[in-house]
Amino acid sequence: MNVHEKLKTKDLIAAIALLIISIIIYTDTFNMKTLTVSQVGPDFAPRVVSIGIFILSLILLFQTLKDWIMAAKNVSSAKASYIKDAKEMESNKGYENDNDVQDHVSATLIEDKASRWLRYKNVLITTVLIVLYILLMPIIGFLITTAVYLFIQFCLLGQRKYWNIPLFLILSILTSVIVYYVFRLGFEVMLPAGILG
Amino acid sequence: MLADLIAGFSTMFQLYNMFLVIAGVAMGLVFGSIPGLTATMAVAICLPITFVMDPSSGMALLMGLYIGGVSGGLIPAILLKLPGTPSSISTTFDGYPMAQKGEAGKAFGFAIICSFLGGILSIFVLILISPPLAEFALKFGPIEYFAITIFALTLISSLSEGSIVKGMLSALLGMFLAMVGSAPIDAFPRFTFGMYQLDAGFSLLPALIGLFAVGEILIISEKKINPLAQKMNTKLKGIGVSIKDFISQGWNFLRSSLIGIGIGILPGIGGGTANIIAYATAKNQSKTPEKFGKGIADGVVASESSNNAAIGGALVPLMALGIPGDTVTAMLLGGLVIHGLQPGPIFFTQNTDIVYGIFAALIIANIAMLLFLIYGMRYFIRILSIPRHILLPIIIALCAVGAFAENNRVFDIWALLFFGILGYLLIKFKFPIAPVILGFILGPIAETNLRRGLQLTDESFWPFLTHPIAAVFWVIAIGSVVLKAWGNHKKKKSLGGV
Repeated sequence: MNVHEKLKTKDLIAAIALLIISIIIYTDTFNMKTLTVSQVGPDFAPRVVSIGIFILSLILLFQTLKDWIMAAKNVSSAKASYIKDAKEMESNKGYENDNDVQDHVSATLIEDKASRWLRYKNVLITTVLIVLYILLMPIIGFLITTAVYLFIQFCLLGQRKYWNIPLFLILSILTSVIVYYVFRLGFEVMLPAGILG
Repeated sequence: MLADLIAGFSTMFQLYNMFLVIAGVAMGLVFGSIPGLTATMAVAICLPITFVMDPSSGMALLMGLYIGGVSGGLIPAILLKLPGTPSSISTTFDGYPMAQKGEAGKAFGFAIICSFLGGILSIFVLILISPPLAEFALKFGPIEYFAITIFALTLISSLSEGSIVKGMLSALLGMFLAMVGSAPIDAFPRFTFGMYQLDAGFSLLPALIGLFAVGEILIISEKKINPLAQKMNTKLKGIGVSIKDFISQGWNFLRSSLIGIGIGILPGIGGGTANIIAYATAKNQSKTPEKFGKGIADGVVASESSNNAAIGGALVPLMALGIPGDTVTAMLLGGLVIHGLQPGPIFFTQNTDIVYGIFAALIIANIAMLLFLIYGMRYFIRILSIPRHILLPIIIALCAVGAFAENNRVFDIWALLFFGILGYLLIKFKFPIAPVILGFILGPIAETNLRRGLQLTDESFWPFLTHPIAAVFWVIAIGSVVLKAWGNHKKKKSLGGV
């Protein structure tokens, strides 16, 4: 499967998701009451927007389906694209060792089958880490949660061979202390103190 | 006007403001030069800090960040073939080959001088055209404002990269997200899902930081990060450009700057698009297009003059109409609104000191950027070797602090994460993000003006179409959609033929 086709699957998912969202928005507008004499109440704009999303995602859906049917018809050309794919994979391999090239233009451009799961796993772990960070911050306090979060995230993002545990420790504690006091004393932002407060 | 400008300069020459501009430029350059960090992110992170400053000082810092952030991208573009920001993508095309040929000094020379002159030129255009534009806009009522906001939204949806359908969907999604909370005029709560924290809607800051910073960082977190330093090739011998060299690029410079200013003025797109169009134009107009991509100075000149020129352009609609010209100006709008200032025609008459303070800050920031890059290049190159797996988590923590700071509540950090995940999904599904932000900011303005306008016209929609100024905007809006749809159609056909 080449990058182009994968995008089409994504378009399909996006179109269907947006269709559902637009229907939810639209039905929700019926709970809104018009509080002024005007016939254009708080429900008007959401209705227009939801109808807009509905129509546009239908167009996206049909475009995607049309392209798929077209692709299915051109069976003969499929062979050619298969060869092209193989070549593309080859050239992608060259990139693989070269992380820097991938990083910069947001990773979306390169979809590498083998490491796909690994990518989503990393994003998922990062997200869960941030969720825990936000959950625990009001309880334990900004200082401790931030230091712990930073330390774990440093390790998660850095490659094993570049792990520098003492540096990570010092940096995570230092950053959290500096940010806490700079915002508390300099900008009068009372970050959650938690158990230390 | 000159007196106002002098007053603006005297505000900015105060020690504290001067320090903020210079610190902003330095920090912006750092953000700009590290791939994955952008000017938008720098502004997003510093926005909460500006709340406690007075508006002029806050703007001093933000303008410094803006100029520095856009300019910093040229360093890795030339040295590493990595654009530090989207504004420097085409700088890599010829800048990197030049550095490989041993002409890094020359490439830097052209890039720095063009960034500076392109920026200054655009600031002068800004100073010259935004006051009369604001004066003209004084005549606008709700009907015209409704037309302009819809015009801006259509334009950004059709001009942003990729499919026009997706662009418009992004804009509508942003408009929907802004509807959460109390409706304008009658304050009826909408889409709050029973959460009282949402009664006032999503705060602007978590939305902006989430979509632009957290979303981008989630993308980067997809894979383990390698340090950048190893393939650096740094042999720099001063600024290798003579005045004669530069004069030979004069026309190219002027054309690219004008492209940058023009694209900047259009709502929603900025330096990221400008540099690519300017590069393509320079190549098309060149007598030796085959040399492009192999290390010709013209390419660097086109890219770097246009992206900095887009800064002044993007500020024109923001200052004169209150409509942001790109993503950074969307943030600046947020920064002004939090201080209770609404950019637009009245801004010019009521807050003349701040308006001209911003102009002065931009000029000072440009000069600071020039000096930093000429005398401090060595240090900025060294910054590139700071590992990003250390920078990015710190930035996430700072984003969390920033989201928290506006209302002192943890709920806004949840909102930050929500918008971060949304931004990540949008990037993954190839939906442009800028229209979401513009929809989020302009949606409520459009709705408020629509409902106010209807009160004026006794519930009739007809005057919305027939008022002359409004009609002009409708025609351009529809024209831009038709043009883009036609262009995409043609492109598809030609691709299908191959």
